[in-house]
Amino acid sequence: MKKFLHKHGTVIALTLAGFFHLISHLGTQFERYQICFAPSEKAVPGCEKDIDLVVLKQLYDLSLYGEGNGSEFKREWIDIIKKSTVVRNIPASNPDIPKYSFAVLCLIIYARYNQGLKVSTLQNNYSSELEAFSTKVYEDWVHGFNERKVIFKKQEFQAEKEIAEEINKLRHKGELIHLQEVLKRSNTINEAKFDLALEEISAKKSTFTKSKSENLRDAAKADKESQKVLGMKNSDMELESTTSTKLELEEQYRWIYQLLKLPFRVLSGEQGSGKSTLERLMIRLLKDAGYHIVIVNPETNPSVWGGVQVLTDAEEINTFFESFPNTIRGRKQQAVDMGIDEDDYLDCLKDKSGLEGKVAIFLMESNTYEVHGVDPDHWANFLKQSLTNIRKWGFTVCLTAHSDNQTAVSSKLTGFSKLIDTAPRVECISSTNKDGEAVSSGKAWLKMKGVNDKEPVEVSLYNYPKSKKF
Amino acid sequence: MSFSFFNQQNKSLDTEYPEKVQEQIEEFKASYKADIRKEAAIAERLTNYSYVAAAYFLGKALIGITFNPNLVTVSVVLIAMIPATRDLDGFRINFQNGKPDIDNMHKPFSVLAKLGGAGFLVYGVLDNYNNLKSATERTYEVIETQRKEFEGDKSPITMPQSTGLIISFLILIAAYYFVPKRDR
Repeated sequence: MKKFLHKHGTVIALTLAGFFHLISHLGTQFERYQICFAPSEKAVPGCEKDIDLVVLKQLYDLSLYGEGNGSEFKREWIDIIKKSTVVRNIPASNPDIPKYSFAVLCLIIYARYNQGLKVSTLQNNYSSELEAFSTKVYEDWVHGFNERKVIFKKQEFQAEKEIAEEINKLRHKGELIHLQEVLKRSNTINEAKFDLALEEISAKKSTFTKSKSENLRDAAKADKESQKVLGMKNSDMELESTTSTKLELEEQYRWIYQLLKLPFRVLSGEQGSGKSTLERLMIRLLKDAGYHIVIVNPETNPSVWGGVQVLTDAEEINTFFESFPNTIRGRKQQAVDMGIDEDDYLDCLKDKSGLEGKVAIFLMESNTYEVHGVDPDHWANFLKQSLTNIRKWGFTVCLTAHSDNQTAVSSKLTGFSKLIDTAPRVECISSTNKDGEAVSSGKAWLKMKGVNDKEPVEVSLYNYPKSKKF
Repeated sequence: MSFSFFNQQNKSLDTEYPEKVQEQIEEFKASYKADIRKEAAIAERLTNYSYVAAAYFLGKALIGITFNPNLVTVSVVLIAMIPATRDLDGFRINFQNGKPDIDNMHKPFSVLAKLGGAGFLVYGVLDNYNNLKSATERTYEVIETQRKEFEGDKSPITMPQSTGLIISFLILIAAYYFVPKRDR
């Protein structure tokens, strides 16, 4: 019974609810009362016609009729009327409708409860039913698998049996020797095929290596030709060659070592006169000497440089210039703390690297600094500081200028421009080619006493490659 | 519907079944879950039905108990609206850059249908009330005409009971004065 209710209770309850709802609407909605104002047994005239009454207790009370006095409507009738009203409790509408609707409500609530039970039992049984099902399916599968296996084995045995019978027959006929010979021959043929295949493979290997080496040679040739055409050298190759060994200069270029020992020097010359080639050579030589190279150039692309620190941003340059005098002061203090002579300080820097060690500063395109937002005061202070003997503190500065006019370099360097004029300088000499373009003549004036040196020395410039990777 | 059953993730660490067995198990799982989903949906629908039935019962009972249409309407609407509001669980509407941004309005048509159902129920109950009222008024008229036919011009005169009471008091006072007293 419980199981039956659990399974079908919802449907039954819902059907009953619908049934009750229909029943409640079967009759009229109002109770019909027949009230006769004169009892029929007394045959009062005027009461031949009975009337149907639909009465609501709240709005109209028949008991008020009892107060009549002297009319034909008699007192004792009230009892009859009252009886009918009081006993039957005058309903407004069908009194059973609320009862039926309550029954409907109860039945629907029961149906909901039963359905909830159903759902929860389904959920609770899920894992166990799943387990049972999967176990059964797996058992069936295993059983079937074994059966299939047995059938397959049987077929195998059958085939083996047949083969054995065939062989026995052949043995009886004496044809087995022939069969063995055939087998032997096939073996030898197989071996020969194998050897042939090995030979083919080795031949293919040798041709492959040959073509590979030829390709490499061709590529190298093409590279060389392209370098000739473009007038430049492979930067990667250059990088390897430069970083691995130190550059050794010939006798005619040795004058540059003299220049490198100075704390400050100026490179001047016109566009294309070979300034930048000389710069690169100096950078290379200084890097070989263990210097950390700082390049200050607001107009260059930092990604083309390698192995050097490049400052392009105006803020970076400002902070560098601003901190420079402090760095010098710090190094002096360091020498005092260590208790060594200032001339021996350079030996202490040998072990250090980066900005802590020896630093070479290249000021390129220096006449454009103020245009790019470099603070003129810091810039002028830096120049003043660098005109002192900063080499003993591990610094060296190289200024590149297009012209000899120092006010173009820094607007605030009044009074000190003469110092720059007296600084040693290299004036690169340019010449014009067939098209009228300025090209390097490969020669320069080395003026050790400044611009107005009356005994300049003519020196030849080393043709350093165009690579900017150091 | 918030049946946490479907949110469970059962990861078994056993050896995996063969592919064909796995397929059958997956099929079984899917059909079983579909069964549960179906039964749960029926349960959900029955919950809504029971709210409507309660509203119906209350309306019918209140018309018999108090003949107050406002009370009946308010009670029936409040209960019959519950199924619609159950659909709006977590509903949120917001205006973003002049466009309405609506959350959790998963079943707009269901909500509209349920609201319509609640309205229909209220309409039915009020119609019932109006019918009863008009019938009562007609009855009152019929009874009134019948009464006038019987009584004619002689309207009933009622003697107030207080008059008798006052007269009896007066007689009591008169008796106190006029009835001679016995000597002792």
